[in-house]
Amino acid sequence: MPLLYTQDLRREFGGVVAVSDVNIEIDKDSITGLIGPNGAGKTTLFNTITGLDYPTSGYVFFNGRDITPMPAYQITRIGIARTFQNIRLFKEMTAFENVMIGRHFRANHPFITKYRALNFILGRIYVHKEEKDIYENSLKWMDFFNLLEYRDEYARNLPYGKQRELEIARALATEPEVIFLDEPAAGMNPQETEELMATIKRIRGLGITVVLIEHDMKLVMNICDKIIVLNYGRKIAEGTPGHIQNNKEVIEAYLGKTDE
Amino acid sequence: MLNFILLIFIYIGIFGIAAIGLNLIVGYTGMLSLCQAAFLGIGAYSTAILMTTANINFWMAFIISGLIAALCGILIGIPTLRLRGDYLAIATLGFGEIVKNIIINWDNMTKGPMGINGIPGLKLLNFTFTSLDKLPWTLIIWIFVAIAYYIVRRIVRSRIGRALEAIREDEIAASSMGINTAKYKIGAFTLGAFFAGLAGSLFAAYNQSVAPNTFDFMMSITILCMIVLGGLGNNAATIVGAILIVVSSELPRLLGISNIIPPQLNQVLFGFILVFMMIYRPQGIIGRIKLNYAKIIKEEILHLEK
Repeated sequence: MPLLYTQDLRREFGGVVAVSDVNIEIDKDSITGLIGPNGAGKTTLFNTITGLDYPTSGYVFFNGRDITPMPAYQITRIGIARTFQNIRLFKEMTAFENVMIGRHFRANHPFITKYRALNFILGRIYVHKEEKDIYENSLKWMDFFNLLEYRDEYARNLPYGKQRELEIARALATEPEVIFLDEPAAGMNPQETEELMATIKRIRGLGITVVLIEHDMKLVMNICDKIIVLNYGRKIAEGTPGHIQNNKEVIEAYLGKTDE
Repeated sequence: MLNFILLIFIYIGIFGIAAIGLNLIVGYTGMLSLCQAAFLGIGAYSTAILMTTANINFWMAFIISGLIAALCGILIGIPTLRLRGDYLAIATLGFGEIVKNIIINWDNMTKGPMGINGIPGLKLLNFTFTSLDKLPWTLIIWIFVAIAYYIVRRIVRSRIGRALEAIREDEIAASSMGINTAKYKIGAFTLGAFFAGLAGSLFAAYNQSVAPNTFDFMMSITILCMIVLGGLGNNAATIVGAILIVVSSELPRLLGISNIIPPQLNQVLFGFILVFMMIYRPQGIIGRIKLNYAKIIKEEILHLEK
């Protein structure tokens, strides 16, 4: 069974059908690419899966569990992290604090969550344990992305490419099983894209499933195991990169129909 | 003259407590609330009613007033928490008007526009403090200022404070980092309301009377000005803001020229200060002090780099 799949997922905005009865399957430990022309409904699909938006109808299953009605924070807590197309860092917080926020809920000590009232009185030891856990794990993720030199910099002052990396680091600090990357290479130069591809492979190496939206075909064709193509909210093709490259409908969606 | 200075300190203290509460809501969590006066009113009237009709002593009434205000904070927080920015401001403004009108029109409970008089003095050990005993009142009120200050300081320096900061920066990103934003927002709003309720309770008990028109929209704005003038997200600055505003509104009387200049000039002076501040120092007199949480953890928990 796939790690995550959708069942006739549909999202309408008034009369516009942004996502139209889409069924996708994400396999464990895979890298899945989601491509399609602008306005094809890729980000809306991401939002409905990660709980930032709700579907008009249809279901999302994760680890065999129906997660459709869950709010975003719960979906993150069960192991689905995401980044945003237009970077949404906490700009006035330091890079390190951004990652700490990602770790925030993971550090809940079982003793504290179980005996909240008691903790109010003698919780200091556990609070210290939580904070220590947050500190050390955040350090680990900063190190994973070689961001330690930017620790105390405000997120807004980081170079663009580093901001993208920081956002991924922050998402990974939630310790997800699957991470959704919304256009991670947008605005990057070829060299940065190259580094990003290596990073994504490293993330997969940690046993984390990756789903990404991307317009950079070189990146998509190089690292994805499976590609899903959306157009006008519908899934028009699905398969390996080689298969997609020769798909007639996909070529038409991108280049238009030829007059015969 | 000394009594008058003490009176000013009493009002700075009372408004300071309410402003510290509002700072948690506006300064740290980034929710623009315009109904802090309503919570003060709820606290003041709860105390007045409990002490005059139910004969409950001040300390019980004080706690209950805070809790009632906090409960109202939850009730207003749940439906409005999905709103943000201007919309939340308008919703809270509406709540403030509702509270004021309930107070004015609920005759058999609040005595309507007449207000409630004859609230007994504060009994502590064998003493009874009335409005005339300004020094003990000043001390009591400033003890509560210190407590409120300490509580909020502890909260904002903990991981809760970090979560509130993240919510202020970007609520959607915070929720997609697994933070239950609704819980934190309601929590901050409720605690802010609780402090305002306590401040209202002190206000009623000190004055030994309450009147409905005290707790109007203008008072909410005054409290908001305190935190904005001092610096949002900075409790020490909040107290500075409270001092500035209370002193500036009492300045003519303080200088003994209140019979020469008309009272309307206060408002003009107040407006002038606001305009001047927004042009030359929009971040407030002191401004926000950004906490470095990594440093706090390093120093207080890991005991490194002392």
